Amino acid sequence: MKKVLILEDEQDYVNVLTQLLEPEGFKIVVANTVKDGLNLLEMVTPDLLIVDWNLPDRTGIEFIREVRAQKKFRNIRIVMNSIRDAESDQLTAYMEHVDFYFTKPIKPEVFLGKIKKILE
Amino acid sequence: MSIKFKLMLAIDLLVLVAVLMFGSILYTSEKTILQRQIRSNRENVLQSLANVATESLLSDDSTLLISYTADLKRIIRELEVAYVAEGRMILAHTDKKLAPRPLPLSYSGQRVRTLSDKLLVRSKLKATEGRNISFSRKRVVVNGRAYDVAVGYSDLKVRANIQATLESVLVRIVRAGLSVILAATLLALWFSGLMIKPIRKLIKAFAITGEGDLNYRLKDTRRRDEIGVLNRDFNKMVDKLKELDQLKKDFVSSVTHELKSPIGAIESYLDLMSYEVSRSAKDPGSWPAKLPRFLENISFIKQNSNRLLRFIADLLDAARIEKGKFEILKKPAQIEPIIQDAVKLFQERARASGIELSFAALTEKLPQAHLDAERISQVLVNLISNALKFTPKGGKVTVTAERSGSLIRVSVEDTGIGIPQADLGKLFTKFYQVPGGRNNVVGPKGTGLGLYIVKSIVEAHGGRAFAESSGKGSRFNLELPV
Repeated sequence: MKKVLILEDEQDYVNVLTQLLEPEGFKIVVANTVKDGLNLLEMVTPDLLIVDWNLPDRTGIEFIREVRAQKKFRNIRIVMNSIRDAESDQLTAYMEHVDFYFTKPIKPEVFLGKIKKILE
Repeated sequence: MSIKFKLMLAIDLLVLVAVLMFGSILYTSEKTILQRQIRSNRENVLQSLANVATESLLSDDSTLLISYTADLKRIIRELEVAYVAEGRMILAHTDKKLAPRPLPLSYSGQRVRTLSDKLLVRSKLKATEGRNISFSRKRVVVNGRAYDVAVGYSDLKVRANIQATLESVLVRIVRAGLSVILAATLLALWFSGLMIKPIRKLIKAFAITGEGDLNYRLKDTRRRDEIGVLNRDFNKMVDKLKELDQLKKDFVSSVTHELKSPIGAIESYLDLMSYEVSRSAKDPGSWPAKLPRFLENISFIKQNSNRLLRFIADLLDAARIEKGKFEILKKPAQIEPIIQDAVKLFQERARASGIELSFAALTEKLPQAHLDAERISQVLVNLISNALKFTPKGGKVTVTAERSGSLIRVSVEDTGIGIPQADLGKLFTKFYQVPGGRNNVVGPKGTGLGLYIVKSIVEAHGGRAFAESSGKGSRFNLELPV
């Protein structure tokens, strides 16, 4: 069973992502802050990270940078899911080696299709 | 006309006035000194003539006296006539033809005794062409006989001499004055340039800031004069502008977020639900199991649309307050039930967040007050929701109400992150959010309008709202008149 860590502080998006991914057989773990996210990462070692940009303590980009800096997390796939839709923001995210950048709100079919493809 | 030119002109004018003043003082004193000198010279000449006369009379040798007197006119230019006489007898005269012989002239040199004398003197007068002659006289006594000694000066010549001397003095004064003015002009140019330089810098700074660059600062802030003050104040102003600019940016980003976030959530739920519906169409048997989730999602959609509505209502309230059209409807009411209702509204959320929310009336029977119950409820909802937002799990939010003189004080106290002292006063300003404060909030961040509306409502009741913080938690107080 693939494990997904959702780093998201708004409960609505957590609800939507959970309802989309759980029926597809993913195990969901949720963190609200970068600090919690980094702690959980050590414990669960997920296959996929879904990261929001604006988080209470730090930004999702900073989180991704820290994850990418560690060799043991090399194989983790990372997608970003943010309300920020500027091209420059997407570019920044891709510079940090995210696998895909979703802008909120996500389209369920496209989202699931893309996630499955990324995890293949 | 530029300040530089004006300054230069002012300095020049000042110097000109000073030069004129000193020049005229110098001129008059020079004139006085000259006149005094002429007078004393005349005395000296008279005295030496008297001495020579005494000597020659004593030695009974008139040749010395006659040649001395005759020579006087050659030596002293302004001297017109000099003579020594005994009674009416002239012993010596500048005009050799007149001495020695009986005195033809009176002491004034005008009155004439004989016809030949008359002719002589007339021709003499003609020669001097009516020039006035002023005489100085002295009487010397030798061997018991009295002699008159007199010297006469031509007024015209004396005046011409004075005039010439004074003219040269004037030329000297004018020359010195002109060079002083020239030096002053150069000095004024340099000085006004020095004065204008910082103003030019300030103009440049204003232009740059006016273009929208808020990072330019003036360096010369240590000066102890007005320019220093101006520079410091300019930098302070730009700092303030930058702060306001940041506030505006924060506001725009928070408003955008606050608008986008619920709409995005609603759309996400709707997309999710239509996806589920389309999947259920292929598998109708799964539908009943999905129904509870569906209903739950609908309630989430409702929550989000409420959040949006609240935000819009806040914006409208703020706009009304701005326009001065914010009205409240006061009626006699008990405040306690209003507080209880507000607290009840949040009990569930508090429980879910692991926060203890309680209410206590510290005064047994709270008096009635004139209130707009709906607006006061809005205030309490705002304060309690804020307190819950900034209080971590395991914390406490305590609402209290008490009578204090002619006031009812309601306080909402939390054990949250607290508020820096510097921000306490600004909290109630429109769109103000404690810097970094948003970062401690999970979920909706707010727009910075809540406390502004709280303050306006409380003030419309004739009361006041203020915040206190000890670093560990904060306390928001409302004071309403009974």
